[in-house]
Amino acid sequence: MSKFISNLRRSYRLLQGVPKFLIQSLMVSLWFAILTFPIMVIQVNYTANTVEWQWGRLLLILFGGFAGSFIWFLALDRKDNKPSNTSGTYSVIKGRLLDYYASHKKLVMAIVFAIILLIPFASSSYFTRVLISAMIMMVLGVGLNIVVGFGGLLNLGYAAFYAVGAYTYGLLNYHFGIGFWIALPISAFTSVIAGLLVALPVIRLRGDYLAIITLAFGEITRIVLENWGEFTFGPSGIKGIDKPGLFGIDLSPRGEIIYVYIVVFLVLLLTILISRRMENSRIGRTWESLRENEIAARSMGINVPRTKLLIFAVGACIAGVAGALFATNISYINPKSFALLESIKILCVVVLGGMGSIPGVIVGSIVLQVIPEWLRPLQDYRLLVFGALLVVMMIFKPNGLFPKVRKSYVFTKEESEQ
Amino acid sequence: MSLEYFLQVFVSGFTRGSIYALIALGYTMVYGIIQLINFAHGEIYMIGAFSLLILIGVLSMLNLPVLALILIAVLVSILYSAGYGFTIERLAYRQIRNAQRLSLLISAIGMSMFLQNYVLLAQTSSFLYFPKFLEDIPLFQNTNILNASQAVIFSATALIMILLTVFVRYTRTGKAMRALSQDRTMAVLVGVPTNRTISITFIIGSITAAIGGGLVSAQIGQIHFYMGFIAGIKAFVAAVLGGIGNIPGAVLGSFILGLTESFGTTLISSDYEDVFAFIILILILIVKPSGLLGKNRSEKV
Amino acid sequence: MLKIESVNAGYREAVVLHEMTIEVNEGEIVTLIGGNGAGKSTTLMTISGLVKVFGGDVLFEGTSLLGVTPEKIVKHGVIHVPEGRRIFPNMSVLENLDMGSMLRKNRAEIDKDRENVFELFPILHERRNQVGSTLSGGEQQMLAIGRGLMARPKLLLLDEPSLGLAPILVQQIFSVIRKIRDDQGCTVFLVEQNANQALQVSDRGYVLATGEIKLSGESDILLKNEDVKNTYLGAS
Repeated sequence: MSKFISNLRRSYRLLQGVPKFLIQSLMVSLWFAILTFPIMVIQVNYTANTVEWQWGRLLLILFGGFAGSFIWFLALDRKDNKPSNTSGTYSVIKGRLLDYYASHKKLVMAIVFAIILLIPFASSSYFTRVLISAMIMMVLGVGLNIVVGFGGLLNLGYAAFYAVGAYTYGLLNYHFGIGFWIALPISAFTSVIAGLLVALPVIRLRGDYLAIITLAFGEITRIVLENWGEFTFGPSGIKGIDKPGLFGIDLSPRGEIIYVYIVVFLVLLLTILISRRMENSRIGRTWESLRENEIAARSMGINVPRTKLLIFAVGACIAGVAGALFATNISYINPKSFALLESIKILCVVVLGGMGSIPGVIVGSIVLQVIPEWLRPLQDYRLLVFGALLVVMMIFKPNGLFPKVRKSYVFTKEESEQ
Repeated sequence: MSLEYFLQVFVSGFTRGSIYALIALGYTMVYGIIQLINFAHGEIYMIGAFSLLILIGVLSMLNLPVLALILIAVLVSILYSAGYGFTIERLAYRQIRNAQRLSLLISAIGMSMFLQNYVLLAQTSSFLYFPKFLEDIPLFQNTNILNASQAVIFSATALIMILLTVFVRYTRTGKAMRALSQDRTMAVLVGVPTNRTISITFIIGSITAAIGGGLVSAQIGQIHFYMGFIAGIKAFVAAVLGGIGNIPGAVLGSFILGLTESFGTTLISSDYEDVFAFIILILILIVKPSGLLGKNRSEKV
Repeated sequence: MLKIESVNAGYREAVVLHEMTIEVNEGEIVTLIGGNGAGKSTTLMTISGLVKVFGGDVLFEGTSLLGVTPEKIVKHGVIHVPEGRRIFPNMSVLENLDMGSMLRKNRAEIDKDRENVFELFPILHERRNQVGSTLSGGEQQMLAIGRGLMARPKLLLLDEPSLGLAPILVQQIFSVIRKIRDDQGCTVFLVEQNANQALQVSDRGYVLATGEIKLSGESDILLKNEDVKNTYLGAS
């Protein structure tokens, strides 16, 4: 009953704010109309020396701006004045689900795994492919999560290690016909080397400098891939990369896709397991203390440079593995897939999901791989909407969808009075 | 290499450096004050160029004398860029200012994507021709080393640098900006109007970037919706090179970068043009981790 | 002048102050003493608007300061000199002082106040063009207080001004605090770990422990109080 009343109260307060919001929205839409006027409304035709006035767009900005900012103000108001949500119906359900999960962990996991393994048999090749790329993104996300989320080392060029892994397999396969399973560890190895190479000059740098240097390395990698034609085949890339073999059995195309799916899924599980293990071990705690306060960590005897190198190496290794998976999945790689946009996508996966949280990475990957697919009908407006979504996400959920909740110890009054 | 050729390459590099400096100033000021790498800043530069072109196109139908036309167009395009910078900060950054830095960064990246595609969709994806009106100025017409547009770029950059330095050192807002960048909480306790000062910082940065955009377009003769992206990254590299948060540093870094690129592409190869920026950045940061003029912010333990 | 009424304040993760009630009257020097982590700094931050208030009210000259932005609170004349000095490291002594008077318009009065600060702290005049980070700890503390004075505060909030200073400097600082009140009529709310000195210089005092006021009264009486002597006046 009290829930009902507090909901009513909230609605009433919202309604009270409406007239104020209306005026504000009006002013905002006028501002946008003026601001975007040259670029939206004026189309200069340089060859014919005429000017086209797109008045329709002006109306679009005025009305869209009005509606948009009204919703915006409402949403912001709601965000700032949200009551603590431990008693809402949504959280009650969530709580019950989590309890059930906690007490029946093995059963739930088994069911989930079974479902995941059965999906490719029941769906189209296209859908399976989408899932595979989502899972590869998850692997990358877990890897970057270790570097950024656990270690606190901002890496804006993660795709470089991804590229190294992919090209290692691609080139080995092209030149020497080496199969997937043998190339996989080699890919991991070369990526680790790349990771160490990048990490060495970078250890002493502070957060944002680290970011720009990793971005630099990422870009250098892409540029080299594009321009060193003799070695990397430049922009045209490498075609016809082999799928992984299954003891020499000949698989149908559909069978191949399902096989890749299963392989990727197993790799993902392995990666998550490794990540979880590290997180809860002594190594993980070392990394956490490093992230929280570097100076304090150092004064506790933690070897900071060595730890940073290790984190980078692990992250690079995972990315390399993902690269090999990527190469085998589509059988074609070219430098475009490893540009800055990719590094940023992976970073968004980690941040959107919630730094340092694996369920967050999983959800984030799905969001970031699947949503662009949904946006395909929007054609040219895809990136526009995507950019806008990023901003909106960060404003309303700056800590991601599944922010990591620190395990906290609560002292009850009786304890402290002993 | 003949002396004349050398000087040409030098002047060309210096010009590049000037443009980078105009953009880098905005990056470094914003970083200094809210520790954000404003990825969308390059887009302001691009929008400045586009606004200028559009305004010139529209105004030229009014049969004004050329000088008046250019001046009005430049002024209005600067106003527009300032408006965009202000709006971006209010919209995408203000709310997240106190959250974790990475979220702010992602918001900036999203904003950058949005603006690029906004101009792409609203205008065109092709390269547009830009009138090289600077070349009509009757200066330096006889020498091979320096031409009118380059001279204008130098003078504009020098003028802006001087104005900005004076502004930051002697005006109240300038001191407020410095205070905010040195110790934000203390600045608040001294009464510095945080929101207003930050907005002004963005506006100033956008103005210099827009001027850079207009100048470079008038020199090269074409614009494209993607031009902000790579210029932005390079300008940011320049700012970091010189020590981010530091105005003289940003300028120094920009000139070093411009000259490196100019000589690099001439002497070594032009395919790898973009790589020079990154290589020199890595080299300098290895030797001096906080940038050339950067002060190592000592952390309170 | 300042009334803190049953205030609960703190951070989202933890409420630090519980049902705190404090009064500071015009022209007084009132001190808040307590051990480490008692919530003394939080108290000042609550007044200056940096910390969220969950319940109760903070009144300055009759008006509530709740929900007022810190910048506006400064305009009311409440000047907070936080702990750790926190002078602007890359600005000179003069520039730091200018920052203090930033919100004021009357040039003549500002100059007079600056002269006054230099009279109180002659060493600052000597080092007036030196950059903040090059000053010693004691000089920085003097600069921080001087900067606070440049705002011509109605109420001066001082957070542990004696922290980390040599005894002779501590004496100097405390006599300056006395002087500020005596000569300029400035009201001072002083938060300190150095209970002895704080109680000697102040008129009234409050004792804070784990976010709650345990004792209050005239300072000379508190100085003689057994519990206070045992807990806080041990080493001094």
